Amino acid sequence: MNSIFTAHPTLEEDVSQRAENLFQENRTRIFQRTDRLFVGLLLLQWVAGIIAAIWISPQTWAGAYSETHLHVWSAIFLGGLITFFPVSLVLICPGTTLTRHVIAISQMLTAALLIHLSGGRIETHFHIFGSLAFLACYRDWRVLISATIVVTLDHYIRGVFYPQSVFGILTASSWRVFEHAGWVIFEDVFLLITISQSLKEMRAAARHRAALERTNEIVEAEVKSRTDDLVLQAKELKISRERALAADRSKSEFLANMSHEIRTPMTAILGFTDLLLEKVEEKESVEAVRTVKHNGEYLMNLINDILDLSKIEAGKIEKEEIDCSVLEVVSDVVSLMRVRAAAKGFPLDVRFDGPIPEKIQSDPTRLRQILINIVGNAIKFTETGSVQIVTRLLNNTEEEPKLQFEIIDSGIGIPEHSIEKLFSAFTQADNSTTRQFGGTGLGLTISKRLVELLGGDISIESNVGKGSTFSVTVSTGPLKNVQLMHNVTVACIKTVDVKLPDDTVLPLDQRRVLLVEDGPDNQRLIGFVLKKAGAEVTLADNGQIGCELATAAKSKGHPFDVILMDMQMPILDGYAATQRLRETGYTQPIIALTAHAMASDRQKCIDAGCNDYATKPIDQKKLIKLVASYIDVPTEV
Amino acid sequence: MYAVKTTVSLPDSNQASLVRKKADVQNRSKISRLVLPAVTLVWLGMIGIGMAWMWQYEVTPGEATTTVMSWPTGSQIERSLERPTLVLFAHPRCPCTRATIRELALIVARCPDLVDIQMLFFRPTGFSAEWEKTDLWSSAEAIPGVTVVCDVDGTEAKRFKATTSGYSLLYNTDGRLLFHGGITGSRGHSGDNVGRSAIESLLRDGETNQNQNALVFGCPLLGQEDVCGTECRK
Repeated sequence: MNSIFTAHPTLEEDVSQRAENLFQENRTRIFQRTDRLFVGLLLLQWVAGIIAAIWISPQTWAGAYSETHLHVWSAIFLGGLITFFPVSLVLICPGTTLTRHVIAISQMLTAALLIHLSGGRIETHFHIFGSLAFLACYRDWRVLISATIVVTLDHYIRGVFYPQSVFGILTASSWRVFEHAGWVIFEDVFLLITISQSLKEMRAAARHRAALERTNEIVEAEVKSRTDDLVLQAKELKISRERALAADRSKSEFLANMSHEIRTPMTAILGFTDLLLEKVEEKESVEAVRTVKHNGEYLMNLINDILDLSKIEAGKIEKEEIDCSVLEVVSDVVSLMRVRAAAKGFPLDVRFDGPIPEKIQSDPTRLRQILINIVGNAIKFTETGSVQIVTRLLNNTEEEPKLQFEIIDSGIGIPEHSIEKLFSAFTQADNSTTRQFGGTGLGLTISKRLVELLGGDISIESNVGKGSTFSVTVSTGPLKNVQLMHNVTVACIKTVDVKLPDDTVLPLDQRRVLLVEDGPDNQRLIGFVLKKAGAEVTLADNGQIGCELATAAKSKGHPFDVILMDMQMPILDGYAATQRLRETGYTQPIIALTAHAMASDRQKCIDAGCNDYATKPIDQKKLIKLVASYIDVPTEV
Repeated sequence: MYAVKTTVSLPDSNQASLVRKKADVQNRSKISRLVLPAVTLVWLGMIGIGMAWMWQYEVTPGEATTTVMSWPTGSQIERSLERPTLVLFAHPRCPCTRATIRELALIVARCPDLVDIQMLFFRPTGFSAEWEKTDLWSSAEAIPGVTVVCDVDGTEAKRFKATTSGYSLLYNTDGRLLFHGGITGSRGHSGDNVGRSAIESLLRDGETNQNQNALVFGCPLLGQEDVCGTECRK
């Protein structure tokens, strides 16, 4: 590490400077700490001196008269003078040179005082040697010099003028002072060597720490620089991602809007096609109208798929979690798809493997959509053999319970390398498939996203030329209190027989319906359907006109039996118009009409005050049935 | 205008304030640099004075009196006819006398069976019988060959003109004074001293080249009766 610094003079200078600072900081800390230690020691010595004086010579006597001995006063006042000045300096300016030297002098004077108080006992001289060792805690050789000078001076003065007080004899050689000083210096030498070594170690430690700090700084600077780069890159990535997401959202919104715009005229096209089919009789015309209807339906499916996908990608798709019957869902799918299979000449078999929950917590609409899509694909790509739906419960105790639907076909199969591409939008196994079988390639993509939305997954096993097995799993929700059905067979499935309506019955005969709809084509189509069912239809182009008409009819005592309210209109939309009517106390049924098909949309309509909800494109029979269900039924809002 | 004026004047006032603060700090630093060493010198001076005062106290001898050159005739103390007799007067509560007893122990150790020692502890009138039985009494009693007696009201001390605790007199078998004075070098300080050296020489050699009239360091033995209050009489 040091070699790095020596190779760079500036770094070396920095490290040396820092090492010197650290060394000085450490020394200051040691000085202050030792100052505090000496405060304790000096106070202790002062108290000990007073106790010793009281113990040894409490009083002086003159015959029968006594008074406090001078030694006691000396211990208190002279000892206090010696003690409290250095203690004050520690409080005022701890760690300074003056404080240190005053403490050293004070310590030696304390020794002199104690020698006096003890009557010149030679044992008290050991206090000097102990004090010198203690002063070495400062790790400052100069302090020892101060202390030694004081000791030497004290011994010299007393040795010359009062030798008995320090040497225990009345007549001492002048060299004896130097002998005593020599012993003190003898100790000083050892202490100086110790201090020198200690200082060297402190310098080395400071140097080491400074080098370490500098290295850390270099590393931290490098890390910071790289982190900054990474943060910058992350920011750029985030911005790019946000842009991409925004573009994606824009695309999805555009698609959703466009799909909606296409759906509206398609509603009219398909609706009128149905009407035409009922009226035309010439074979060629019927064929032409059916072709229009077939292509219209294909286009409608395509638009629905695109709408679904764009909703999924825009994150706007929502799911319900309600109790739904597994048998009902499977029955619906089989009812719908069995006709197609029969048309191709093979059966659509159903099997239940093991116990099946009576109901699960899921979104039945989406589940149905998934199964219809996959079963539809299986039928589409199968020419001979069969298509089978196997349903089973995967109730592993370690995992959340799931319901599995296996759709097994004996169709053309899918090459292994194409399986991964199946779930990509607008992609089929290969281009020839599209040409041969048609389709948008969106079905599996949507199904996969929907399955994931329902807490499951899709997997595929396939043998080219032998067939494929699509395995769909969905979460069942908790099954704690759900009854399991054992030995479920195909006989349990109720397939729906589609009965043709009885054209002779007019379910809305003489009923007054207000149709609030801004689209002239839909006005004509829905109006025609309602009139065909026997209703008297009044048209309103927007919500405001609708409100005025409804209020006027009510005030005349002849209100409309039902209001069909489109929710998206200019001037005043269906939500605001419904709310306004309800606020004025309008209690007749209001049924919402909207191209949006989500549950949240339904709830939004109900919240606005609507009694029910019908989606576009309209199913003629369902609409009539719905309207009829509200005739003569008192409304409570 | 106001805003401009404010923004211009603020830095100046701040700068002036900073300069003033810096000058204050420098002045204070200068004062502390001068004051503290000066205070330290004063402190050292005061300690010196205190030490000198103590020193003065310790080297100040007791009151000098006229000398009883021959054994007083009315004395109740038994003088030896076979060897010199050392009579030592002491105050039983004088801390300085502790050093005297230590020196006496040395004399006994160095001159065994050469001297008969009579140590008299003063007890003022009116004080209890046990008042004189202090640690000094016990220490003296523990020295072999030392006879410890109580000198009630300082009767014997007055006969021998002893006024300071630690006052010692050495008489030969004829009752002639050989030495008188103290056997410590200062108050409460043990160690080699003129008095002890003289006594040891006289006992061993029968003569001495030391001063035969050493200073006595100790508490006044008899004191002044009039200053002694009832508090002292415990």
